[in-house]
Amino acid sequence: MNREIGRVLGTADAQPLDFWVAVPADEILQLDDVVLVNRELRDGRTVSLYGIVDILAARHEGARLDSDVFLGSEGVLPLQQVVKAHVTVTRVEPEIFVPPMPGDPVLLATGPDRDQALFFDNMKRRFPLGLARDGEPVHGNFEFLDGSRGAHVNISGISGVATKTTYATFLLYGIFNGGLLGGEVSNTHALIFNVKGEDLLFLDKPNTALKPEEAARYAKLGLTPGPFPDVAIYAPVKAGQDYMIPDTGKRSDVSVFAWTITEFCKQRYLRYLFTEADDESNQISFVAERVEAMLAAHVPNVDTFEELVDHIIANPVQGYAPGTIAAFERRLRAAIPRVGHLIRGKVDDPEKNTINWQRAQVTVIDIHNLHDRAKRFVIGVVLRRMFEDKEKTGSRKPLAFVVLDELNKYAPREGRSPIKEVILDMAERGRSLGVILIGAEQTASQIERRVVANSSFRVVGRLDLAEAQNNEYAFLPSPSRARAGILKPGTVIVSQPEIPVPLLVQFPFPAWATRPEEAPAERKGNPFPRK
Amino acid sequence: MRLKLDPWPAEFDSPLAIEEGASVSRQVDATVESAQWAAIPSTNAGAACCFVDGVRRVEARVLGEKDGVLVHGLLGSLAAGFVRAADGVAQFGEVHVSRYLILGKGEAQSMELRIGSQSLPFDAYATEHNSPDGVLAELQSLMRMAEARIAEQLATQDACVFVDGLSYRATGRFDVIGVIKRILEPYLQPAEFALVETLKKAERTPLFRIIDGTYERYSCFLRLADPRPFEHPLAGVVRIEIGAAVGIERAQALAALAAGMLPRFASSPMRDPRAPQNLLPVGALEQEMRRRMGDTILIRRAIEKRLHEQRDW
Repeated sequence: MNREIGRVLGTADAQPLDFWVAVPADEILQLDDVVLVNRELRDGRTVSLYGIVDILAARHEGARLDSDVFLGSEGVLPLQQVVKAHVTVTRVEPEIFVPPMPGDPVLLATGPDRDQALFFDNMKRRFPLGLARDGEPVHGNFEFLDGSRGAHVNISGISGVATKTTYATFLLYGIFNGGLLGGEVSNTHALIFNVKGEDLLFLDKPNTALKPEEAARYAKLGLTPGPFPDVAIYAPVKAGQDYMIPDTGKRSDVSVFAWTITEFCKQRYLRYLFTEADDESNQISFVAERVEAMLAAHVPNVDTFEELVDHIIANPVQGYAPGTIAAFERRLRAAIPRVGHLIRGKVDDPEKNTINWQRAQVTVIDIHNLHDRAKRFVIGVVLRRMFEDKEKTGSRKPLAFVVLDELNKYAPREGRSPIKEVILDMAERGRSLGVILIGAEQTASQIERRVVANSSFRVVGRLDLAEAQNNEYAFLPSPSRARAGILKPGTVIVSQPEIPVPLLVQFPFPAWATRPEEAPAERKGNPFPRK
Repeated sequence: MRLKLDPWPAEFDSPLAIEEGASVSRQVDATVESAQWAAIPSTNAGAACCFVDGVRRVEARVLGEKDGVLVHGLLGSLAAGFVRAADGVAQFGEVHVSRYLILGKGEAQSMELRIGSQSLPFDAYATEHNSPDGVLAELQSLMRMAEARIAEQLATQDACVFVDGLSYRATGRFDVIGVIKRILEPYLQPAEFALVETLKKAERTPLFRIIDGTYERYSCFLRLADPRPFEHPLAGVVRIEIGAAVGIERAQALAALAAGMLPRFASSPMRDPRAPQNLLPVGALEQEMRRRMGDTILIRRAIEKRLHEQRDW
């Protein structure tokens, strides 16, 4: 039942879209609470205004001087405590935009009224975004994620405390395990790039740090806690080894990936070695394209990437200034120690050593040990492959999700690069192709605008306060911006298209291990012991 | 001649209104408490106490005609309430607001105003005093009675009830202390009165008994705050009155209580222009009661509208 928690006050203007509420001192109303005011019109109709509390202020009434508070606490001066709350209206039903009247009772919205206030009643298909401060679930409209009305998620926040990738995996967990996808769940895939640390290499292991009481929070969201059931993990081949040994840290039971020289040449992957933002601005990219064409037409018979580089340098393309050719060659040579080991004459098992994002429900590609240049190469190649695969099927469904952190490296605001092209393509056309980008970065202000603009869901974890003042966060009203500076891990602010105010949500502790220490102890007999 | 400042702003009547040659036409017995005329310091007291006060406001003056004679009248609002200070908390008590249409020449007539969805009744009150001052005096006395009713009620519960001004007299023989902000008469002989100027903060004169045939009472002067060097030495002094019916011992105890308590509640010049005599709880209560009487412009408009509606042209 909706309980009265205050009344619309009349000392400030009450407007159809925002108003202030006086709250009795013995009532507790907190930020993010959902409230409701019913306004009776003369013609007998009732307008319901739903809203969210976004400012709370307490003050002494009757005090004129700042020091009156001391007199009040000494029992000399009678002072009245009062709390007022500012409400931003989220919804008006029916859509008659009249202000609430001062004196109208304000109710705490619960049950169906809360759903109505937050548009949950309109969401035919919804996925869990987390829990509100009152412990009730907050849903996202899946139609804005699956491409039918919108797509993509963008997550910003400071490293370490914003738990961006954890939230991204939580979203995936909810989508895959909430029964939302029905029969499509087995054909829906997610591709996750592990770019930092080993956080994402243990998704298939239960989290030993998970407290039993978290189960209730999962249950509230319609989920059962547990690890991701179907995960494939790929790690790059270790450099300088004849045998294909994965280059990983604590996780060793993983698949090894590498590309053959034939595939590299035929598929024209050379351009992904030239992904510095300034590479595109000079002639080097033209040289690279010419060389690509040459290699695709005639795959040289070489065993190592170094030999391939020698071959390319021995057969220079014509028609470019010697300086350009020299720059191209210098960069190509520089790629040998960084990327060279990933491109081999032959691989042990072409089936196993090729990244197949459709093999498991969730595919994790570990690139955290690679040099930046190699990271770009892997991301560029894998995403293009995936994109081409999806283009071939020609249908949006089943969906493919891509989780990519450090987006500022791959889709920076300034400059152009082949990998940025891929990500931009995904942001702009992914919606119709069913490729959904869950991108994360520390600072949205450094990301290509179109990538952020195409994201239906905007998520903010703990933000640097200076960063929060940038235009990219204009969707956050100023109280939310201030709060973004003090968000705790496990709390994010989510904006979605249908709800006019961003909502603060908390997500349950991950039920899958997010660090090696959280995974159960490994079995004995590790085939690839760490030295 | 060296000049000293009277600290209250000019828009208020002076707190030191002793006129030259003010005749002491009454008998004052300055020996009731002590044979020795000397300042009595306060002992620190910390009892629960209440401050009773009232405010009044003339919303509009009205004029009528009866048998060819002008009838004076007014529409007035008054409020009476109290602040209770106990256990380190000062709180407003209930505030009673009443409204009257007071008419001279014994005319009784009530009026009801409508403001928004609220109705504002002005009760009929007839008086024989048919002059603008006469009807105003009736409003004042109605306020005094409202204050007295509250004080009377409180005096049965609380140790110490302070009433602003002279309204305490209407409460009969309850233990109620009147606090008079302004010094209108010295009451005492000049030699005795000289003591008042030398009182230090929280010191009082001994009680003296005032016998003037109206209301038998004990009284004393009490200093709330030390004056600044350029202020007149009488600044910051109040006079308290206690009904003689309570007996000298009880009066002495109440005076000690007042001397112990009141300086704590004295206001400072930046909080109240009538500092320190207008006590902090009283100042806050007046402000609160004025607010509770409603917005003066709204009421004035409603009166004009109401008078306009009764037109017969």
